[in-house]
Amino acid sequence: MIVELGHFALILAFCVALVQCVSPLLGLALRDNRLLKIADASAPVLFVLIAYSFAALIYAHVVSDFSVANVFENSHSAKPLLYKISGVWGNHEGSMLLWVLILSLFGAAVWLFGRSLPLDLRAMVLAVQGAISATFVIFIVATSNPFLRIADAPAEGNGLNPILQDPALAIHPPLLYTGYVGFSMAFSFAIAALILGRVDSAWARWVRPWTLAAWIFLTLGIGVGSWWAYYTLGWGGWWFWDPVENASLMPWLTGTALLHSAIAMEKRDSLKAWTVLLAILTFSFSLLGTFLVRSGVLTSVHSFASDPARGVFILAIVSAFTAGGLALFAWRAAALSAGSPFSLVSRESSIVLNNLLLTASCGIVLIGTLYPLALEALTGDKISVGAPFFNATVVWIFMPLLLAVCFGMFLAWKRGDLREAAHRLWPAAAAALIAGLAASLEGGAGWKTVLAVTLGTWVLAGSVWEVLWRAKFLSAPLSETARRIWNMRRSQLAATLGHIGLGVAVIGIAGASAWNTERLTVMKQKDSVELAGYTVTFKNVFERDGPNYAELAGAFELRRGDKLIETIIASKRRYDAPPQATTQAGIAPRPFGDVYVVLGNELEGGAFAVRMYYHPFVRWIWGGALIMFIAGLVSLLDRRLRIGLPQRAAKTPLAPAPAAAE
Amino acid sequence: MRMFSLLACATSSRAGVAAVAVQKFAKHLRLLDCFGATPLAMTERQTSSRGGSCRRGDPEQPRWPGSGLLRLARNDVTALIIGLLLGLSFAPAFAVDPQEQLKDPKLEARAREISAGLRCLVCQNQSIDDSDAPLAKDLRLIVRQQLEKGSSNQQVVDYVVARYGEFVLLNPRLHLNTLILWLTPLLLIAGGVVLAARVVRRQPETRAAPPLTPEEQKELQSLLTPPGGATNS
Repeated sequence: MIVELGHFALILAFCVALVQCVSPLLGLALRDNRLLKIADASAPVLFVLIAYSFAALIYAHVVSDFSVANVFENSHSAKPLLYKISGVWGNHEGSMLLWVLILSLFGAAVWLFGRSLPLDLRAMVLAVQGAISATFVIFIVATSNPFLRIADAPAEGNGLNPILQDPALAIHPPLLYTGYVGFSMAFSFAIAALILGRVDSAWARWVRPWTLAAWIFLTLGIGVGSWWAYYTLGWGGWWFWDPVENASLMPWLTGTALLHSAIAMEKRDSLKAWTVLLAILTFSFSLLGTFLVRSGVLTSVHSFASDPARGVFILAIVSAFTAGGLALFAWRAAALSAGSPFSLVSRESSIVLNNLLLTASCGIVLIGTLYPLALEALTGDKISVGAPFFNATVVWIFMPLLLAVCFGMFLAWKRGDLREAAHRLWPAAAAALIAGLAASLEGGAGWKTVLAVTLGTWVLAGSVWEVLWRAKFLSAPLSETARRIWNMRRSQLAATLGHIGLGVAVIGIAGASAWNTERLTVMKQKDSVELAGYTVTFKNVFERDGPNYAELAGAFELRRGDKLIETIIASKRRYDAPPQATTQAGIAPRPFGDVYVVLGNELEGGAFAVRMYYHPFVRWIWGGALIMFIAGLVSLLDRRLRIGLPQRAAKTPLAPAPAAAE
Repeated sequence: MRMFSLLACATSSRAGVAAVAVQKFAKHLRLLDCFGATPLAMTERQTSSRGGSCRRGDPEQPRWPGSGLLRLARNDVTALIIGLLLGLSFAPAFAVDPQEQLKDPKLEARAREISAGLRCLVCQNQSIDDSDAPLAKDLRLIVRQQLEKGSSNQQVVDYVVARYGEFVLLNPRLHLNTLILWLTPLLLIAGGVVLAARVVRRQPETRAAPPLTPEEQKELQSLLTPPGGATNS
């Protein structure tokens, strides 16, 4: 019954979403405020309906109701509770339901926090949100319904793929989807602004926190996914330029660009058209990512053609929103005023450069991801576009971007002085050169590594120095510096922190790529292997049982000199439902890198194949992502304090400009 | 062996196969596709491009050279693949085996370098260096065998491409059909620079209005001077 109610709630949600979409448009056409206000009422209702629907599906999974096809296909009664719940979004139908749940949550947030927005803007934003909700809910109901029953309920389910039974993967999809779907806010605001013909800095002040919220969750989501890959896949790789990864990287790149241009718009009222376009593009890439992953087109062009119902439906949604948004932009963008002027050397120009490079790298990721599909569909030729292509292109675009980051921070708005900025940046330059020199002295570093370490340190040191310099470090007493830092606006500190995160991640990527060591050996018990200054001793193997698996584990003692540091357990698991084996790497995090041990097959005479790695700096990569996430949080907290600003502006009816009044 | 595979094919449930296939393609679903159901089930293209990967451990069939693999690829590929996948479900993920390594560390390093650029044909976007699929193992052995014969890196790659097609190259070569792919980065940068230049250049023009001509100055004066005679300022 609960499941049927959930099913019913989902269908009702479609109707409510439709009302939320249509009534503001009618209200605008008929100039009837009552119709505009209907959207306000429907947004929370929509959220409640979809939340109930989602809760019903979770309930079905938790109680293992195998009469529901979705539960039967993806769950198992012996699964731990955490994975029964996370299994809800571990499959296509459930994850799409999560998608619309988050979408409706954002809609409800507009209703909750957006009361100070002008009525027409809020209603139009909700209308666009309603349109997106309606299309995705009907997509779920028509092609991916999670509530379908099986006539003869089986006694047991198929179970969830064991590699997905992992805490990181339990939170990865919700984080990523919050990011993806969060960009719908920027999109809805952009469309609303284009329809109403009003884009100003108050608009940017509204869009930026939503974009920031989406961006930090996307950043964290990508980071968690990468971390999961690192410890799950058995050789410590953390990024593969895989199409599914690229699908999440594209909105991240344009979203980062959007975040920066929205600052220019908020502070200086410039780059309006640019910002609106980026808002549309970012959500389009989120939709494209959903399409790529959900349609099956990535597995093969043929699998897409053989079961096209879902794929074509999502493709239609993606095309409609992307084309619709871009057409509206083309039609109305000319109406957006040019905004405040700025010179070639200025903070604004550095943001233009940032946007240009980020968008270009997104374009390269796009073509690299889609080219093999397009080529095969058009000519039948099969080619692969893998990591070497992206490393040869995207990575190079990032180099000038990293160089420019520090200059951007030191340039003034409107008109900056490049020479002065360079002059002020000398401590960062010195730190970068020292780091580069140190990197080049270390064996095994190519010039690319040296360059990347130099630039990473440059960004890191430049960001730290920016705050110190603004706080008059060295030119004023320390107490004065401390006071100034304390009084600095949170968003200022957040920007610095975000760039620090970037620098940390870049150093991590460079170091982990260049200096990782690998040992492939056959080991008997009591054998020892030297690895990057550590001694790893194979102690013993033992068997043990987990909640729904049995594993063969090897214990390895990690020593530095004679001192035992820790015992690493690496194991091979065998799951029963579905019957499948996984490898659990044993990882010992050390200050400058991870010792990573993988237990392989048993060979003759009780020996085992063992793979060992030393991954230096690898944690810096996720550390950087985490710092960026925290930076976003810091900025959001600041925003809440200043939220009074748009409130006051919005409550007074928009007065005509003084010039026109004369 | 093939009998077994066919049998396996006939008896295994679709879901089971899909689940095992999922393990194979674990990497591919890492980020978003957190489930084992639909899109990962084996597809026509993948099955048809999976050449003879289950030959591992079958002493009666020639292991090399590649022609043997290719010949096998034409036989009952699907059954072989499913057999392989079922077999795989009991094999933990493990790429390069210690026994595979060449004695000469320099040669081994070259083998690793070449392997990183060659795609495992049965996997999603995995290099043969990273993949634990038997086909990837065979390819790794081919690479090493060719290197031991004294081939250059380029010759080894050419040897593999001649047998498996351009599809094995993770870094596509510049051909007529990859022209757009390789030109796009350049075009994007060039287009972006032009666009940015327009945005930036348009701005100062609006900022600095041209100075007034003497006639305009005079007109301004006359406007500022009220008919009464006394000036405002």
